[in-house]
Amino acid sequence: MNHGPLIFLGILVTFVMSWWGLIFAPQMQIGVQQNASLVDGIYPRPRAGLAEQGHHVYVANGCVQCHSQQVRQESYTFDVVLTAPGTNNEIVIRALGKIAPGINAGAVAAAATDQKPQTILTNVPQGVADDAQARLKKAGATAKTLFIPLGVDIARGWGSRLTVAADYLYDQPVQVGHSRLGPDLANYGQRAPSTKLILEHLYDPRLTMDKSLMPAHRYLFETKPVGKKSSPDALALTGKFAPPAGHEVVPKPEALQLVAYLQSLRASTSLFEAPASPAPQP
Amino acid sequence: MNGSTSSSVSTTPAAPTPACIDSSARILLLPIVSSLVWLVISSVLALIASVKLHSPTVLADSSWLTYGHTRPAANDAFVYGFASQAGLAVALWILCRLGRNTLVGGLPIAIGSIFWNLGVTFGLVGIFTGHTTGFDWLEFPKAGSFILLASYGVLGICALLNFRARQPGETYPSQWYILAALFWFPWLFTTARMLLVQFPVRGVMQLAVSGWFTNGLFTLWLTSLGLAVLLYFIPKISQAQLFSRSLALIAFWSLAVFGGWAGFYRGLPLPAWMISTGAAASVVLLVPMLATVANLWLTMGQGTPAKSGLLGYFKYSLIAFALCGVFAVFNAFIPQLRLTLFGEGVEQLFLYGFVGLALFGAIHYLAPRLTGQENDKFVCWSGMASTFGILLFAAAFLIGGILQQKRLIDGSVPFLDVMNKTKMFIRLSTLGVLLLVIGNILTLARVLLLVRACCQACCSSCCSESKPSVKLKPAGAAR
Repeated sequence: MNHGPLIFLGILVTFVMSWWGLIFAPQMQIGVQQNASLVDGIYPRPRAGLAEQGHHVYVANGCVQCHSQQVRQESYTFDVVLTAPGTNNEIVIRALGKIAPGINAGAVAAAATDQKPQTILTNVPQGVADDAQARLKKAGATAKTLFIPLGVDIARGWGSRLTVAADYLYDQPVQVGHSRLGPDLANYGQRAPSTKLILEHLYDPRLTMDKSLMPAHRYLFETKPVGKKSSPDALALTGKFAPPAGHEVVPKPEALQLVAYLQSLRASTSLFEAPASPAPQP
Repeated sequence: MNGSTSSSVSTTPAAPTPACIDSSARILLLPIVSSLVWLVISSVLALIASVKLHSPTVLADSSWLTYGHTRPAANDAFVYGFASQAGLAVALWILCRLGRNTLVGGLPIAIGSIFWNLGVTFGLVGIFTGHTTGFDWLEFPKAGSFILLASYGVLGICALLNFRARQPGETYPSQWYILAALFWFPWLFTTARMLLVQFPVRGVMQLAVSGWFTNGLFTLWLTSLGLAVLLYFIPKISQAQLFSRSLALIAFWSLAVFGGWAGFYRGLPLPAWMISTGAAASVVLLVPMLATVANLWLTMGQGTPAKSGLLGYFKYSLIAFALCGVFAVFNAFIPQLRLTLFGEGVEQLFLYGFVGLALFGAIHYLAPRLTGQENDKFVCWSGMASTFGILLFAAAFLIGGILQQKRLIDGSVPFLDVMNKTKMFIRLSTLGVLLLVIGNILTLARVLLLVRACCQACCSSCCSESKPSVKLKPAGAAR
């Protein structure tokens, strides 16, 4: 192997192979993905203007260094719920008794409606759930099998399902993150407190969480003398966080954009490829 | 093989002596010194970031120095400012020595290097002012990246010209790695930049491109530079022939074929086959790792190392390289580890432990030869500081990461407690970074002292004689 051209050819071929396999092929597979059409509209939708600007603030400040935006799922299980008892109450109660001996079949059958589905089985494998559903159908009742995603992230309340390709369709750049020095933010919009509290948290995280390790982002705020009337946006700061007398702390536009972005973070719409947990854990 | 024994005299009568080559390559001091300046800047930024990680109130009022800016800036300053630049300079010197040719294109190299530094400066200022692209290892905004790429064009072409100018004869593994790396870097960098920033692909395809680029940057570009250095210096300093050329061949081609395929981890919202491919590739990549480590370890065993303290640098670098290969497999198969400190620990072990130590050793070897001066000050101390620094840093992050993961997967531990219990390890790592800063400053100081002595010698001989370079006694010949 003494010829430069030979080495060149070899590395060109191997490089193009990895490019072909990991960029070109996936581009054909997922690069042309379109929004999913759901019963109640399309998912995802582009972010509103302020939130989109906030995305740039998020990128510019390197929030991605500490916060991931991905919910991982380790396994899944199934629940079976009864949504309509049908007309033949007796057979349904008998069937229920066979499927789930532990429950009060009569009360469940009486209470089951579309709006108030009654749980029959929890945490069962797919085969058992399908079998139960088929039996109830035979008895004239209507039952649903619910997909329950399981995982630490979901148990921590960071999301009700795993995050999938569709969730990132409008992100440029995608900020999926590589580190969890802070909590995951994929569904921050769902659990976010009021705008005021998020702003206070950004101004100094120790205001809202005593032991937080997040850096303060005071440079996103302005300390200025109070005018004729105090600004409606001014933070209510007391104690050691309070600004000097006659001054108030007002968020700059960037801070408000960032908050709008954070509030827009939701990846919980139930999708075909990733059904969401019906009742998000607290 | 000429590369393995410095004293072996070239067979062709026309070939210049090593001393002659060294003095022709003196211009390489420019990229080397500037890369060391970036190294010090990078480690100081890393220190700030590390302190902020456990004491978030420090320097909290500056938007420039927020953790989200200092962390990527430290990483990019290391990879582009130090590792790539110093790696290119050392690679150029290795090409000259192995090819037995005097350095070709001194002036373009100097200009390329100046512009490279300009590119890194622009890029870092871009990160600090919030103009980052938002992609890992590709944060430099437009201006920085373009200047970087243009100056790389000049430096890369010069390196290729130097490879062409070699004396006829069998090529050495270091030359293969350098040649491959010279092409891989611009291909990777332009492809990734085009597809992520210029004409961005949509949605998670960005993750695919950015994962592919990150992996390529580490596994193809930096690994090749590091291995070229180790394959050249370990036989040279142990005064032995490379144990096996075939093993080196296997390692090189398996790295070339499989190197580009790793880098995707479970949990990423990508098609499952990509993630399996990544995990499989990280296992297959143990082949080039084991082949290289065995090859160089056996080479060291055969040789009778000279008293030079430099072998330690390369030995520890090799160990770090082996550990990184193993940890990459951990990372691929234990998905919960990925988002903890563990991942960053492996990254820093790779950057400072493998690439860094290899280049420090090479720079300590080169500096006296390029300057034609003798000065062993700080070599031992900077080596100790760097080795213990990276050991402390990596150990703290790896162990801290594993414990963090244990608490994270226990849903009953609140997230705040997880982080606060990890704080102790982050504090330890700060100590490690402090040692790295000290080691880096000592390395820079030694090279600067040598350069100063060289300048003084030049000046004094300029005054007395018209031809200064002939008078200098090259240190390379003395050893």
